This record gives sequence, structure tokens and C-alpha cells, in this order.
Amino acid sequence: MKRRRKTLWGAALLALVFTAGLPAGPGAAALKGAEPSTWFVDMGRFNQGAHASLTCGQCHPKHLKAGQKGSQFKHPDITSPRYLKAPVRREYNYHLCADCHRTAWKRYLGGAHAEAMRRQAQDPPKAGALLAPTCADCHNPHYILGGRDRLALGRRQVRVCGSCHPAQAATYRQSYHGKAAANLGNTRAAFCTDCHGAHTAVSLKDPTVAIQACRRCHLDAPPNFAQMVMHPTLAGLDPKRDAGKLWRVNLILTVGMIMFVIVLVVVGSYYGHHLLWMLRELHHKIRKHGHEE
Amino acid sequence: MKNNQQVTQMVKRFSVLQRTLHWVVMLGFIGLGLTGFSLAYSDQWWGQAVAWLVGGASHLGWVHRACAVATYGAVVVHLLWLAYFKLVLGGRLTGADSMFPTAKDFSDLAAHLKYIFAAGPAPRFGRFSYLEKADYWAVLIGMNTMGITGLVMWFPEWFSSFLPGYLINLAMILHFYEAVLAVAIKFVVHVYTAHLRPEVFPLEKNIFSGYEPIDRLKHERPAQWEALQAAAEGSGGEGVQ
Repeated sequence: MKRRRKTLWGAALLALVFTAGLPAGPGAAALKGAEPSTWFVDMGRFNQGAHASLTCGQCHPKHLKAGQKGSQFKHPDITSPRYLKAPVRREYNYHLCADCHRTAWKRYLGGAHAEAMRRQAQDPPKAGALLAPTCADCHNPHYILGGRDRLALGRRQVRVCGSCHPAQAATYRQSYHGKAAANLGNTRAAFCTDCHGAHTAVSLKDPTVAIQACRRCHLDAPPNFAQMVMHPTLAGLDPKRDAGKLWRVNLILTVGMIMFVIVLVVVGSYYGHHLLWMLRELHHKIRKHGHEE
Repeated sequence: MKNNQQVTQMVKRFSVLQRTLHWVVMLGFIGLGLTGFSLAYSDQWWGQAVAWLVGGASHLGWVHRACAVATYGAVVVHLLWLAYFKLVLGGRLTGADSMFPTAKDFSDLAAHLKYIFAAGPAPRFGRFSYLEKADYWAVLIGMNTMGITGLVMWFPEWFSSFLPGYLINLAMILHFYEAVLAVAIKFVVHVYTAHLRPEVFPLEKNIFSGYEPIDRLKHERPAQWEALQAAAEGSGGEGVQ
């Protein structure tokens, strides 16, 4: 009896070893990528970047006159002992970016990231919370490269967007879009900004909004099409505001869990059965027992 | 031991059509598993290698769909044959010579479990054992569920014109887990049951040749052997081709 129980435990363990890890899918190892905020500039890298033709002074003018655009930004106090410890990306006057990148600036102002910025200005976030992104959080101005192709830009999006939205980047890479585009390099499939917009960064939780994004590629998509969940994750969902999406995500995750258990049980019992059967047949062969009739 | 004078007596087990369909399903299934899992695990080097071999993500999809059409075509041909067999040839789709589950299959399962735990004799299987029937029904049902969920992903716009869009998500999940199940069972359990068991190793030839030697039949499927003997006595003929 004791031996039999041991055999059963062994079979269960074996089934677990064979099947565990299968549903984990593509890993999120390659998603880290945001460069740390630092006061120091690597001029070697700067000279290879898109801004290499600019002089320092074009982006870092010494003084702004009162009334000039962005003049409320002051240079940090260099005599303060905390000077080099302040988060550098928060100190810069990003109005200066708009001098060249007018369209991107306008879109940013009308988008969800600037909206979050305005909200955080009124209601400062707790320490450790994610801060709404400025230009440099996504585009490192010293090292940003120019002239990249769609694939390089798209893969960078997964890394950069994923540094604040890891659950969305992971679910993207589990979706067909992510597998075809980011993993296999098919540039006809969608990257982050193809649906969410580059500087507007709109939320597509509402299917009536999302369908417009779907139809950029799926021209004949009917309204129901946008009920498909591209990021089946509970991260960032508000129980009240996103009740509709929450229900769909829960359904999808539950079905996935049920299927996992079914696969585990069926494969486990099959493998257990066959393993023991093999031992029995081997026993017969080796001991030269005939079949008991 | 057999020699040239004494030709081994053979019993027919599979028709030409059945053997052909087995080849189609076997090759189609391998193609489906290879391309499907290469897409599912396209962040792994081996998935990217297979995608590169067939020429990228969109070709991966088309090879997968071509294999799916061929494999499902085999199911359609098989069902048409069953209809022809029943309606035109007047054959029986139930009984000991069919894949139809019987009470004996369940008692065989119980007896087999007892045998495995050394608590009883080996069950006396008929022409198709309960494991072979399970293999058959798993493919027949699985091909249809995989086909439906696959079609939902092939034509998501059309399906969401009358179904809620999140069913596409569910189709993806069901398709993936069922694929894991199918590969884990067919590529391991089926291959083991049919070919690699100590009693059969290294290869079961009858699915490719169509014929089974009579001494193996006596040993593996004693109930079928007895039925053949009884039929031979009843008709006074040979009973064995």
C-alpha cells in the first residue's frame, strides 16, 4: 500500500515536471530598458545620436528672460548639497523641445501622458509612485538615434513603454501582434504606437474608442471586434471606471486557468498510466513471465 | 521462427484509405505543431529559427493554415467514407470491429489498471483497445474544436460581426491549451502506445503496411482472434486472409 502511494506521488510529480512552465509563454526578460536619469553625458554616444549637430547651448541656454517661453524654469541651485541628487529629468525645461518638434509637442499636450502630468501637478503622487512622463522619459535627448526603421523603433517601443507598463508589454508579446511584429520582425503587424498613437498615448479600454485604432489595419472590423482584449491583465484597471473590460479580462484569465488545470490533469493521468504500464511490461519482459491468461 | 517456405499469416487491419489518411494526419499534425508552437514561443531561439526557415511570421501562418486544411481535409474524407460505408455498403458503425465505445472498453480500462498494479491479468483487447479508441476520438473531436477556434482566429472580423469580440481571446486560449494537450498526448502517449512500448518496440508496422502478423494478433488482441476463430468455425471457411 505504501509503495503504491509512493508510485502515485512519483507519477504526479513527473506530470508536473512535464507540464509546468508551458503556460508561462514568452518571458518578460527583454523588457527592461529605460536608461537611468543622470547628470553626466557620454559624448561618444552623443556624437552618434540624432542631436549630434546641435550645440549644448541650443538646448541648455544660460538665461531665459522673464516672459520668455519656459522662463519659469530655473536652473537648479548648484550650491545646494542635493544638487546632483535631484532627478535630472524633472529639472529640464521641455518647452525648448517644442522649438523644433512642434507637432509632437502639440500631440503630447493633448494626450494621456500630459493629462497625467497635469493631474500630478495638482495632486502630487506618493513617493515611489510612477511619475507622469516628460519628453526625456521616453526619448533620451542626448543619445536618441535618428533614421531608424520601423522594426527598430517598434522593438524600442516595447522596451520603453514596457518600463512603466510592464504588464501591457508582456501581454503585447503574448498577443499575435507582439509575436509577429516584436518577436519575428513582421513590420505589417502592430507595435505600441500603431494603436495608442505616438505622443497622444490614448487609452483604448473603451471598445468604442478602440475600434478606430483597429480599423487602421482591419478595415472591415465590425464594432464587436474591439471587444477583443489586447492586454488581458488586471494591471491598471479601475473596478468602477473599467467595469466592462474588467469583466472580460476576468473571463479570459479564468478560462485560461481552467484550461491549464484540465491539461495538467489529463496529461498527468495519461503519463502516469503509461509510465506504470511501461514498468509492468518491462517487468514481464525481463522476468520472462508470459502474459497471464 | 519463420522461414521462406512458411509465410507468416497476416490479418488485414487497415485499408488503403485509412493508411493514407494516417499519413496525411501525421504529417499535417507535425507541421501544425511545429509552426504553431514556433509562433506561440516566438521569443525563443527555436521558434525564431523555424519562422526564419519558412520565411517569417506571415509564412509561418500560411504553412500552419495549409497544414490545418490538409489535416481537417482528412477528417472530412474520413467522415464521408463512414457515410458511404454505412449508407451505400451497408456496413456497421458499431460493434467489436468499430471505433464505437462499448461497455467492454470501460471494463478493459478497469482491468488494465488492475494489471498495471499487478492485481489482475492483462485485459483481453478486441480489434481496437480502449486506448486506441481514445486516440481516435481525441483526434476526431480535437480536430473539430481546433478547427473552430482556428477559424475564429483566421477570420476574426467575420466572426465578430455576430459574436462578441472577446470570444477571439477565448479562441486563442483554447487553441493554445488544446494544442499543448494534443502534442503532449499524440506526440508522446500515442507514439509510445503504438510504437515504443516494450511489447511493440521499435515500430508498429501495421498502420503503414495494413496487415498484422497472426502471432502478434493472438498476443495483442486475443478477443479479436477468438472472434475470428468463431467466425471461421461458423462459416466453415478460413476466416483469415
